[in-house]
Amino acid sequence: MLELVFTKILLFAIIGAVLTGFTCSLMGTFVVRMNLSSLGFAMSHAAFAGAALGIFLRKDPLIFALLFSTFVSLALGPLADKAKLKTDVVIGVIFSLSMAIGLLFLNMSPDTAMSSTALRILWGSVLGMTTADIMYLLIISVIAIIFVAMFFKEINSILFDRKLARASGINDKPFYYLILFLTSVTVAFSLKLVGGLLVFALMINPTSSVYQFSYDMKKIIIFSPIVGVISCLLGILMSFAFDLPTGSAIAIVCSAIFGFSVLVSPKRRKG
Amino acid sequence: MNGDGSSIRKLVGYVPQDYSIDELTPFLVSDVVLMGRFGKIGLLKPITKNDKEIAKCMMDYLGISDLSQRPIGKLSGGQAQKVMIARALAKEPEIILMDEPFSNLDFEARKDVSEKLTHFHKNKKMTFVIVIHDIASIPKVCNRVIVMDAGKIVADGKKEDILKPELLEMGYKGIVC
Repeated sequence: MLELVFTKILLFAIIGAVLTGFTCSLMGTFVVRMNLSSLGFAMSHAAFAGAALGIFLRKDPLIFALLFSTFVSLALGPLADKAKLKTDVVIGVIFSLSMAIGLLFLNMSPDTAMSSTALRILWGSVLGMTTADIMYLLIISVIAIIFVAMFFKEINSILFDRKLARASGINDKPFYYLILFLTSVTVAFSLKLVGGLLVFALMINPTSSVYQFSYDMKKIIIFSPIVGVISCLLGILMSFAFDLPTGSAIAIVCSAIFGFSVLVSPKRRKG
Repeated sequence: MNGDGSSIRKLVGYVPQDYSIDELTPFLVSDVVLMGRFGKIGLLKPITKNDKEIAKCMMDYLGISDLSQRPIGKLSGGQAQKVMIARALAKEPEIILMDEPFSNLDFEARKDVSEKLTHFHKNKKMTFVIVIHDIASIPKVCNRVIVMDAGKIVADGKKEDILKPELLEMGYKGIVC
């Protein structure tokens, strides 16, 4: 009986890792290319703040994580425009505010502060994956794949240059906001495995690694999720082997992969 | 032209001025040229063999086929400009807007590209609207010249009527040689 439970936990962890690594890294190709890294950072911390509020209210942290990260992704652009501020200034404010709010709510939840629930949203937990988490990740993975497959040419054009894409007759705004929305949902669903503080690493590092080897965006979109999945699986292995928080282990692995990629990158060879 | 912004943009090609591209930009020349057709192809419609043929044809015509598999960021200014022109032509638009399209081209390249644009104007009935500061680069078949000063039109008419020293002096504020 115990073996069955352990097998189920392990299976969920592996499936969760594959789906999280895949979707985070796929969305990461857009985040990196469109210079939305800072926004992804703000989103992940907003998701953390939302999850902390959920814990405080004794509700499902995922719903609040989703609300907060989506709000940031969709409000940032118009907010920066109205306030006539540079986007990175607004992002900086949102990032620090999100961290402060998140820690505040955790602090205000005396029963759960620094408990396993709270730590899970900070660092992630491979053992915390439920059937619902797997289903959410599967749904967002499928949606992301369908989105990329159906609109590949429009996405490619926008990734090259948004203004030129608009000039060629592509209505870029809906795609831009859809990318932001899918990224925010991916961040929220990925909190369970990687945690709010490190999900950003899984989004950025695998794509940045593949960037070191290719000038072809099609190949980057295909290989980034593969590197993301490998990072997650190796991270979980490391987490089990050395009793480390899952999120930290995954972040260390994908950072190591990035570092190795930079060292051996053919793009950095002279001549 | 009737329609909203998006539908009009599908009929208009655009060549930006001095398009600078980051060296590490992960797109190949062939992809960038083909992208010019995406707005015209339309949402949810696939790229066909014909679209790829047209893009290839434009690259052949402008003499940049040998660059097709090169990363777009690894081109010289003149090569990048030809790629942008090929991209605009690949769209087969009714009108092409060009902002200083010859600025990065040497004399021979300017002459060559100018002749090719003339071919499109005559045979494909394409209208070219070109912003240019170098009078010598104005294509021979140009049939209308508009001179602007501080955002206002100061002259508008046939080339032979407009390109007179006194009018040019007004446009160039006495710098005309």
